[in-house]
Amino acid sequence: MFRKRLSTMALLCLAATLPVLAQPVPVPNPFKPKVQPAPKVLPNEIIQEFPSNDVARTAWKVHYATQSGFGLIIQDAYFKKSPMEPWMQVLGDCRVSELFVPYHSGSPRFWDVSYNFPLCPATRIEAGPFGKLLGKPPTVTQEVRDRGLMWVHTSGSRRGQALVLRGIISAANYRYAIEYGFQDDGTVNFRVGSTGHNYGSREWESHMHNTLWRIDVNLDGPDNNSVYVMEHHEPDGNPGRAKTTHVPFNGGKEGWHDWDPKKFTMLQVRSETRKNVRNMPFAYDLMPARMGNSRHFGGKNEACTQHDFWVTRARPKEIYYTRLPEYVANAEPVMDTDVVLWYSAPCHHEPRSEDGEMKGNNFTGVTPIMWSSFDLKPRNVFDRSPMFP
Amino acid sequence: MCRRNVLVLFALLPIACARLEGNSDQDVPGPYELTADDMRLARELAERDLGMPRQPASPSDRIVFVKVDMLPDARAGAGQRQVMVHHYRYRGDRTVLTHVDLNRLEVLGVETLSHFPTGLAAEEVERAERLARADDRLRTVFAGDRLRVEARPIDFAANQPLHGRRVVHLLLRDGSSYLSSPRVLVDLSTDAVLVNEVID
Repeated sequence: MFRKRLSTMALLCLAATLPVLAQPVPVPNPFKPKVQPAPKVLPNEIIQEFPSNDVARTAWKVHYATQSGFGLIIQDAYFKKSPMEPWMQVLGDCRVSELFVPYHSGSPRFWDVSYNFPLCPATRIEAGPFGKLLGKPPTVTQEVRDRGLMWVHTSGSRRGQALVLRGIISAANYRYAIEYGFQDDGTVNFRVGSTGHNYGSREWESHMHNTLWRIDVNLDGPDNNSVYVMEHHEPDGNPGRAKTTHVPFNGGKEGWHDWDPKKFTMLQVRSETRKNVRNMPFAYDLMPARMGNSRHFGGKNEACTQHDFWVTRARPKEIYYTRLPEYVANAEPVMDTDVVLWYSAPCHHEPRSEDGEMKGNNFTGVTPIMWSSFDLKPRNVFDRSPMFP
Repeated sequence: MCRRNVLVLFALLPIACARLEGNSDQDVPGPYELTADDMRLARELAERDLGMPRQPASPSDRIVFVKVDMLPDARAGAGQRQVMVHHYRYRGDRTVLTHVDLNRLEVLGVETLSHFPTGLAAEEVERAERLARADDRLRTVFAGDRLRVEARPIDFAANQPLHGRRVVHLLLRDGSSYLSSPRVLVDLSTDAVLVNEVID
């Protein structure tokens, strides 16, 4: 019985091999277009399709890195606005360039990225019930979150999702949670949460936590991007009228711009080559979500805090926020080129009883997390409402 | 029939286990990081012309290696491999930044910055703690092994007396709380331990 089965198997194997042996030796065809090699999959690649529990409609591909000081860095990110579309690059290198913490009395003044603190070991609690721990040992968490309502219309509604990557810097008494959220509708959220213990010996002194970001937007690739300032003006000459302006950033050159709450100031990075079906240029808007503008005057390193937005050409060695005044000194063009946005996201920490208590000589408790954030939101990247109906 | 089903179940068990293992965190992608070799190489190239004294004649002659920063590229995996190496020079409170190309094994540029916020080298943290533990005023504080020391560099505003000095605040952690006093600062530029001094 066994011998019979063995001989049948041998015959089947031979039959399967014959067509291969019978094939002629391939001759290169000079007219045949060369097949592009499959792109190399990098070991730090994360691909997330949305919705995560149904047929995919959009997707993100992200490469990430970790480093003491900067914590969690996004090396690049690509979006797919429908399953049939090719990947489109949206981001190059994005990182927290500096965490500046000046105390109200004038001292201390901490620069917690420059001080090169490490990432904390990541835990299951931080990852959440469905999250993953990344790295060996793990220092990053990855989770897909329900982000609440995406839209509501006359006859229906939809909830959205986001892929969230998080790393937490362990800066002595402070902890900084750096989060990047990649939403199903193409939006990217950038958040830093400050928590940990109030600074020993100055437990009740007010201070600022300034998250100073470096964001390399590479919309449809690194080249051919331009930066605009988008502002609301009211009144526009006539008391009942208003207008919106889209003007080249700083006259089209490297420099700075300030956030004005009355103008809802936003930056826009526009592709000079890609347009949607309505002939509108692909763009991403930097949407601030801020409580105020921080200005500090403790010396030349703090000159960078005199403005809220800076834009430079992309140059690999320019990663230090304190040096922005030098970086923009040549006022090179930021139109139709490779651009980098720099943005300050400040938090004012006024200590309160919820931060902890003195027990004898010991300060015990923990400061509940306080977030600063902004979004990069697609403009005219889709041809219609995403995920609709 | 029942026995056959059990056999089929047993046959599928390894596949199910493999699937479970595939979902574990061990298989998820890890972050890109500079390797120890990258950092050693970058440091060697940076220190070739830095003139680091082996035995500094005075404290201000000291130069310490601080860190290596990876520099960005337009996209991941492009293979550029450029880094910035940081050294701290005590004389003049200067940070030396050496731009290194690890592919070409070449130094692309060197800059020296005054009063630039700079992290501590491991040897500086050790020195600060050693100085504090040897200070008579702190002997009772450090008695026993209850306290953990956490080092925090401090920068001062340009108009303050300790501006331009290499100062470390040693935070004293007692379990999950911190001691409010004494406030222990170590000025590594002069090897002075400052206890509860009003210097700012």
